[in-house]
Amino acid sequence: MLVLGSGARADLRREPFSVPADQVKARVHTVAIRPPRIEAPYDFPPEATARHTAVLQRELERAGLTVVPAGAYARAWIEASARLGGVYDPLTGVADPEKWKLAREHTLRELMRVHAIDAVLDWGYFEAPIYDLDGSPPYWVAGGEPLRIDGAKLRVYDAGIGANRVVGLWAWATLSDRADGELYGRATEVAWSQLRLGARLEQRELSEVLGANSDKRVAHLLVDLVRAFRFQPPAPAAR
Amino acid sequence: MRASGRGWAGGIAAILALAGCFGTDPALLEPLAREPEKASDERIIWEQAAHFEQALAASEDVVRDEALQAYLDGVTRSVYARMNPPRGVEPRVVVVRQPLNNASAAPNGLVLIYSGILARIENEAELATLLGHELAHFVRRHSLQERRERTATEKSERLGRALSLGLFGGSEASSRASIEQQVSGFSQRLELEADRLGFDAMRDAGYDVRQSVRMFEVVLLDEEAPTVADPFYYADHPSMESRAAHYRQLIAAAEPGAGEIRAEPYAAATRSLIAQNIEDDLALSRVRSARRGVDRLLAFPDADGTAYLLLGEWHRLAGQAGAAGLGEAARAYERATQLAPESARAWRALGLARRDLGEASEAARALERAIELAPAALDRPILEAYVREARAGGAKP
Repeated sequence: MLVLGSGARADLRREPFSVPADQVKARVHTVAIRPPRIEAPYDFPPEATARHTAVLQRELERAGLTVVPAGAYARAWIEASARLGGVYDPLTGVADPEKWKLAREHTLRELMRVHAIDAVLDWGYFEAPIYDLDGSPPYWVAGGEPLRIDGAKLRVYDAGIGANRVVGLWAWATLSDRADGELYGRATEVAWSQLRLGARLEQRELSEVLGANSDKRVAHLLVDLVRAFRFQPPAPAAR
Repeated sequence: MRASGRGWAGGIAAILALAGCFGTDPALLEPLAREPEKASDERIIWEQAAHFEQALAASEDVVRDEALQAYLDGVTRSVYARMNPPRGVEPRVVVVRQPLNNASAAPNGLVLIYSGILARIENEAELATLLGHELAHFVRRHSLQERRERTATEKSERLGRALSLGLFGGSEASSRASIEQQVSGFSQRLELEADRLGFDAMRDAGYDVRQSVRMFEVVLLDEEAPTVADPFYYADHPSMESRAAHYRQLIAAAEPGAGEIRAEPYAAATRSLIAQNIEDDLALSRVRSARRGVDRLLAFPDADGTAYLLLGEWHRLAGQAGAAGLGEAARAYERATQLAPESARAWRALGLARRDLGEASEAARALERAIELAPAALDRPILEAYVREARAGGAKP
């Protein structure tokens, strides 16, 4: 195994706030968390998603926000979607976009009515290449930077290193306002899950992918939000 | 979008640094006289733009409002006629549904305008300023000029690097930065030229030139743009101030007399677009911009149900949280139902707001009316459940 250790590479750089952070701070006080959307071919252990949900809740609270737990969202969603006769096609599992939109609208209305939320945190997981020599390498690799996976550096263009495809579990989170407009959004790698080394394929156990280190990565989704919300502008100097 | 041509908000940068360039003419090429020759570099970029225009024609993002289009075409013709335009080449204006402040001109005469900037402009003289600027980019072949400048700069950088044999260091990245800096300086000269020519055209078309500066003082300031340095879409305040200073110089030199402003025809033509833009603003969390739009609609002497419905939406989604905001929303929805008694959407909004406020019987009445007006609504089962719940004593807290 070439790659050992812990701590995935830093997330993709992108301005996480869709409107200036001070405006978000002024508008958001109570946030509902939605249960995670999972788009990865794993059976996620419920204890891992519960742990990550708790991590996000803790981060939001650290930012000074009141948090409405994911159960409230789930109840409102289930009620609205049941009244619509179901949102997902029972055979294909594909959502009806119009019904989905309405179920979402009624869910947010209910959370506003009962809990006076002014924002909702959507989040989830997906699996995607972290790095793929067969396709276009990510910009930081193309720029000559070493690829860092779980704390190890791979100079993928150096001779002798055969890693040509790394797939990982990613997490994402978006904070949206009462109108469901995005205020903040971020995605980050949680951990690598598959590593192709020439003809060899290394596959990691899910328990390892979702190990204790994954909590730190999930917390990282809200790093800019927490920083912006905790920031106090310096008081004007006394005369 | 920006890649298709030259932008209005794009290229607005560091004008103060170019103060010495004011009044100089950077025209390296003759103005466009006809369609470009076959197999020329200009023909290539025209064809690229034509492909883009073709794709755009099928896009759902294009605003298809015949009255608005006819109005924009009329103003475009009026301004364009003052620019000594090429024969047989007519510009086309396309409005794209996007609540941001931007516009751009493609090399083949396609002018793209975002709905956001039209919703922020307040009169025809300002619109003529915007169109004059974009049409100047087209007539003066700025896309081609910039492309040639970039190619020449890149060649020169490559040659310099080859001759130095790497002895003086300098990375690919620093070389790229140097190219961007040189091209950017050139682009800023082109922006100034477009400002000046566009200004002259709007003046010659009979508009009040004093209106032109408002574009930079108010319209393009976007306090809800993310704080990311993106020179293509989001111009920062200092550059806006510099740009306004440039226009103030042009106005002073023009000795402005009595030109036309034409606020009313502009307002009438853009009324529906403003309403649509409010919803698009809310969907992007642009609550201040949405509120400005609502106020514009309410300022019409015959403010209609849509204006009050959107005022209600603003209070519910962006106003004070809790009962205070909801109360304001319900009052606005109430007014919307009075002005548009056949609007199922207004009754639905009123009924849901009353439910949220715990006013069960009023909620039931309004929701029943909404169901009556839109019996096929997809969420009818939810509304019916709310009616039953209201008749049984109201929603659970």
